[in-house]
Amino acid sequence: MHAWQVVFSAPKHGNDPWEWEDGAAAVPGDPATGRGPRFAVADGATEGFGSARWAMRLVEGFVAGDVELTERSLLGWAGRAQDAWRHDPVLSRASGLELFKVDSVGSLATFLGCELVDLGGQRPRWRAVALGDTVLFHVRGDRLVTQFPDIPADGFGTNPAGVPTAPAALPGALGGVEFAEGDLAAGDLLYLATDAFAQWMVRRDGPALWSALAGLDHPERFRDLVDDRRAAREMTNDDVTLMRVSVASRLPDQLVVVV
Amino acid sequence: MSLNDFDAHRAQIAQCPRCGGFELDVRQDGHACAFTCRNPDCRTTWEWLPGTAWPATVVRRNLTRAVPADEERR
Amino acid sequence: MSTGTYRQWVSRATPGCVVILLDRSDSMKLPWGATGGSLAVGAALAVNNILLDMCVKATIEVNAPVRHYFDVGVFSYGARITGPGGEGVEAAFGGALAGRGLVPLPELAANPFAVRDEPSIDAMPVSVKMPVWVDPVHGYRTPMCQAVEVAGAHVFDWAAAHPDSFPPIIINITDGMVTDSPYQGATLQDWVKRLTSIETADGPALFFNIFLSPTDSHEVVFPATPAGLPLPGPELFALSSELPPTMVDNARADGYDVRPGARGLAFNVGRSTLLRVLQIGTRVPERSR
Repeated sequence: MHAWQVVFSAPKHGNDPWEWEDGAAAVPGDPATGRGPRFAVADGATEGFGSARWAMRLVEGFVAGDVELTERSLLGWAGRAQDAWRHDPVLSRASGLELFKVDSVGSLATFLGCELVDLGGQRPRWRAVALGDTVLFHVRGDRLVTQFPDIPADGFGTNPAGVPTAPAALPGALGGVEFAEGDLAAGDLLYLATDAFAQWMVRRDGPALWSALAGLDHPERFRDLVDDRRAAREMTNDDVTLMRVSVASRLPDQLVVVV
Repeated sequence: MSLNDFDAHRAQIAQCPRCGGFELDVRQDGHACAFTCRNPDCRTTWEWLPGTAWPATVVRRNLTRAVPADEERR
Repeated sequence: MSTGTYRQWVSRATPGCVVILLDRSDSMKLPWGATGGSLAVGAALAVNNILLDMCVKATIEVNAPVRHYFDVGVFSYGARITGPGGEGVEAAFGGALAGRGLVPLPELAANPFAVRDEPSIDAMPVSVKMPVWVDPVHGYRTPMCQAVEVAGAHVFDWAAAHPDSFPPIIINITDGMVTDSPYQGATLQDWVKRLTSIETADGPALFFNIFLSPTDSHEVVFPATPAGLPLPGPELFALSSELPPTMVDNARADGYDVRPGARGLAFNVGRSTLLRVLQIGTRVPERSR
């Protein structure tokens, strides 16, 4: 089996697209090493400093590195991301106020990382790690199989769990990571969503929702959906990210180019 | 391909692997497709052959734009 | 008066508004506790601290502009340092912002009139480099009614221009009794009622009071009843708005025992409590991520 993704995103209403502070990354599987495809989404703290860079470092490191889905290995991954964030060359141009915030506040990001394993073998499955309220939904035939982490609709936005930029806070924070896995079948869809969109998905769980999300084929339709749900006050005004991962027996031979 | 025929299990939606943008120039080169991102701050180029994997993607949409201070809306 | 929901988040599309009324009357010259500095010095330090906090919160990336999350004003009452001097009410910013009423946060961040080594607010044996927007001043009486009137005019215009924003927050820092009530035929209660009748779609303006005590008195923070408060506690209690739910949550997270119906009043506070109360009272709903 194979898997591929599309990433839809929208900034907070009133903000510009470049102010989106989530992160999203994906790599295809590597036949040479047998490593499966990886997908990651992170959500940087609005109150933080350099949150977009922080979310990007986390997802980039997870999909590119040799990090294992164990607490010990994740500690190394997050530590390397912290180094890269703290020693980013852009900080050489930082003002006094900016450096003050780097040191006194830093940033925090929720994280959801997912790896698909044994796609060509007996028991293809996803394995995921989560810290905070970025959520993975595993859907089969317009029916929700698994939500991970299993956060109720009223449990979003209140959980401060995330990966911090402060080295001293890292071991404690990573003590809260959760792990999960689930069996995959051709035709399954995985969705990785940041909190505002995930909360709406939890509320609207049902065949109509999953059918609509499977049919999303255009970023404008995604943004219209987000705008409408925000206007209807069904969706919190926050940066939103939805990564849809398609699992099928073959890689796609058709291309959709947005016009 | 007509959008009415869209099937998440058969189609790859073309998306820039660097900035996440969907506005792309596409050139057919034999079987392969050659892409250039239209985002003026990105302009990434890459190729894709139907039936193969899309390139590794790290969305840097928010990082491809330096904002001059005088752009802040007052 | 309608009841607010107080749920709108700050964003550039819906910025917030914070106004501080700063007592600069003669009694602010009294020493504050064992710190050595006067009430005026401590209050100015706390105001500069909270302004810095707001600027830091809105600083999000290298070379990115400070975000316009708030319009901020500080108005002083008592001694005037501009114009003819004497007693009165004036915009309290110094330097390039002198005479300005409400100032957008990016402009505030760019224009402290000095950066000084200041003692830490918690009286730790360290000093930190602090931007300064407001200086300590004291003299004359306590024209609080006029201060509410002046602030109200700015707040009224702001609310009209930002109908979807979190309502304006007005925080009064004082150590004394009002000396100009009634003013233009209206008592302090009347002026505050006019102020808190200004509203956005998210609710009426909030008026909070912080009463400083020069002696180490028993602090009362966010009381739900005026019972037991010495003068002018009951009057300030009656003038103070009820804390909206998000601020109740913030206060509880900060360790305060906040009962239902608690008011935005802090009585007989010391220096570190002043800053904590300012932080709670200026923290409007925000997305943490």
